[in-house]
Amino acid sequence: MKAVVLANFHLIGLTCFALLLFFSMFSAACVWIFRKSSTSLYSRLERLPLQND
Amino acid sequence: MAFWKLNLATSWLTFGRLRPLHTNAAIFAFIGNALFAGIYHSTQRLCKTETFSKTLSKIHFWGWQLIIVLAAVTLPLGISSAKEYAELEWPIDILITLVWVVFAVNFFGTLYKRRERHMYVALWFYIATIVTVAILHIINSLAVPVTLFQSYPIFAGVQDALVQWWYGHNAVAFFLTTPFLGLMYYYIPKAIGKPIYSYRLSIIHFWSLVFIYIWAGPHHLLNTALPDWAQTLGMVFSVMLLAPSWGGMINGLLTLRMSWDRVRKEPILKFLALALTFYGMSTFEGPLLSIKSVNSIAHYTDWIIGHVHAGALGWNGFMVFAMLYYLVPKLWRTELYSQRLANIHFWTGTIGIMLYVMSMWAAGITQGLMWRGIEDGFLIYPDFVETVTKILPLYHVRLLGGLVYLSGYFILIYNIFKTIKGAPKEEVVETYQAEPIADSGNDKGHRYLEGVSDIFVVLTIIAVLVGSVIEILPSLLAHKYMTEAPKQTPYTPLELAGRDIYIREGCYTCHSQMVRTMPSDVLRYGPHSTPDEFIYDRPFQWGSRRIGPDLARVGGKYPDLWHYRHMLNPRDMAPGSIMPNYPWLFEDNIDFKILRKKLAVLSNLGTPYSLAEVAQAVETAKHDAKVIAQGLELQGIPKGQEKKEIMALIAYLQRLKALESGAEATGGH
Repeated sequence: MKAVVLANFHLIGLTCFALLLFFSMFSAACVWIFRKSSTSLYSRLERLPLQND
Repeated sequence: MAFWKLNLATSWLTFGRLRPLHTNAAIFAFIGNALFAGIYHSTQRLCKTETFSKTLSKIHFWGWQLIIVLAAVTLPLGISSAKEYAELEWPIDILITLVWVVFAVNFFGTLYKRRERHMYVALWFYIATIVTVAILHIINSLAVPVTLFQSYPIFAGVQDALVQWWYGHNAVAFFLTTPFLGLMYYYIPKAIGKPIYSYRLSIIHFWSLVFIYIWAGPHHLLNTALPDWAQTLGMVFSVMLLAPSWGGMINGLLTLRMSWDRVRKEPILKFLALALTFYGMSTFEGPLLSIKSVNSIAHYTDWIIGHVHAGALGWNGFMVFAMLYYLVPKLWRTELYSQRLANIHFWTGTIGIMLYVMSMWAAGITQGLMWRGIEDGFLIYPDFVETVTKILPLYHVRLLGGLVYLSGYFILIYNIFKTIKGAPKEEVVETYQAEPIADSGNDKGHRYLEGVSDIFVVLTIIAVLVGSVIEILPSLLAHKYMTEAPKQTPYTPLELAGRDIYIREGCYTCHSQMVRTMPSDVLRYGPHSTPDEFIYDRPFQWGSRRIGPDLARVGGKYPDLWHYRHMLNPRDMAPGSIMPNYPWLFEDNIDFKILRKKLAVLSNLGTPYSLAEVAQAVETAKHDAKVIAQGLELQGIPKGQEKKEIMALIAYLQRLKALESGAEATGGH
């Protein structure tokens, strides 16, 4: 079963391209949003839905 | 569907015509109206201002209801472009575009006049929905009209398939998922009175999701004639989609966990928890089904039907119910009429959907395993109808599940009706207008971006277009199929008339036209399909489900008489079949007059018809129909049938062959 599944990932270059593209995007987003200065901003933003009714 | 006699031998009650209505009603009427309500309600509160224009809101509402009515009328009449979830014909497509523009203007107008500098993450999901659905709808609907009720798409064959499933999959992504994630990020904090578990995770969720989702369309076309590289990209990105999807699901569940004791008691929170659970299940199942090996079992089976209903009724449905139970008492300034009824609704809905989904899982896996059963080089179940009759009891369980789920709707309607009836009568005019925003001028980077909706829109479009361009553009620019396939010939006028009847009747809802590269498909149907077979197919007819056998190699398999009798009563030729009878094909005449115009339109789109062929289209079609009718008369069929639609359909079905023999057979029946 494992061999059958892996056989379908034979275009390895494309698979790597896709993974790297996603990983770059994901990492960049993580680095950006976890910067130190953002804590106060996100604390305020997350309460926006609760501010009025 | 399981009870074919319920079609009552009426054309507009057949499964082929009702199924597009069912999918369009579920997506655009039920879920569409719910998401518009949620977006209008939450956007005003998140922007701390009223909607940009009440007039536009009314135009949007009534325009959308008009579209739904037009769909309910045209689809049963067989007016269909035969592209799944986009079956509506070109005038309604234009109306959809106009109404969507009205919605977009109203939404972005509200964003521009907002009294809150930053845009909460729910608004990001709404922005992604509005811009992406517009792109998808316009590109997938590009077509040249023949009449008011018919058009031919500008894309053909493999290109049409790729564009259609780029649209089809992302209709799921950006109509059924992103707006509901926005609603989730708004209504869960509102329902429990606490902020979302991780706002940071919601940002990662958003950008990852909009970037990846658009790539996943080709997973609907695995093991087909689609180029291998596109299949691989679709598969890999679909598997990766699990990460952002589960990131969002976990974020929602962890938010609910902060009030877990209340989830046990309050129906709104129960609905939200169950909706998120179904979201998690569906987004695990989706990537799983996108792996080629798993897909080879599941594709074309009822497993996919189970999957989409888990998403539409489980995820979207329960989110809608939670939203309504929250919204109606708030809007009418009262309490819900009965918490107990809401709890009963919760359990009927849960039991109903589980019966439905599990029966479809079982049916799908049974079908998939039976189709691929091979022993000593032969199919174990060579008779297709055997794989249908085997799962009929599961269709009955599905019916039961659907009825139980539907009963929950009636409970909801009663509860909402009583809630509104018991509400205070005095009208209170609310205003959400906050103080104008003071210009701080200190925001930079993403902080600045979060406050500037137009730049945000551009970035969202870029994130969406990267995948679209890389996957679709090479296929659209590749003309090699057109020049390297001299053996394929255009449809004869009569075959074209038959093909349009095939489309009108929605045959693609039960029959595929795609022999996949798998041994079981090749053994059952013949040589696997190749891209050049489809170069004149506008629209492509690969289908997405096999309640009946694949028809790509049906041409020449049976004599004309077999098809004639089969369409009159399928059970005469295939005992046990659940296909309806098509008596009107033997009563209605072929519309010969329109054929010249059809050929002219196709010629303009690139089909190599000569001027003489276009000019002689009517005469050629009448001649070909007469040849078929005369052949049938020799076998005892009554005279005077040469003008009937069945002749055109037979001509089309007999044309469906592998390329080599198919090319030789064309140009005359």
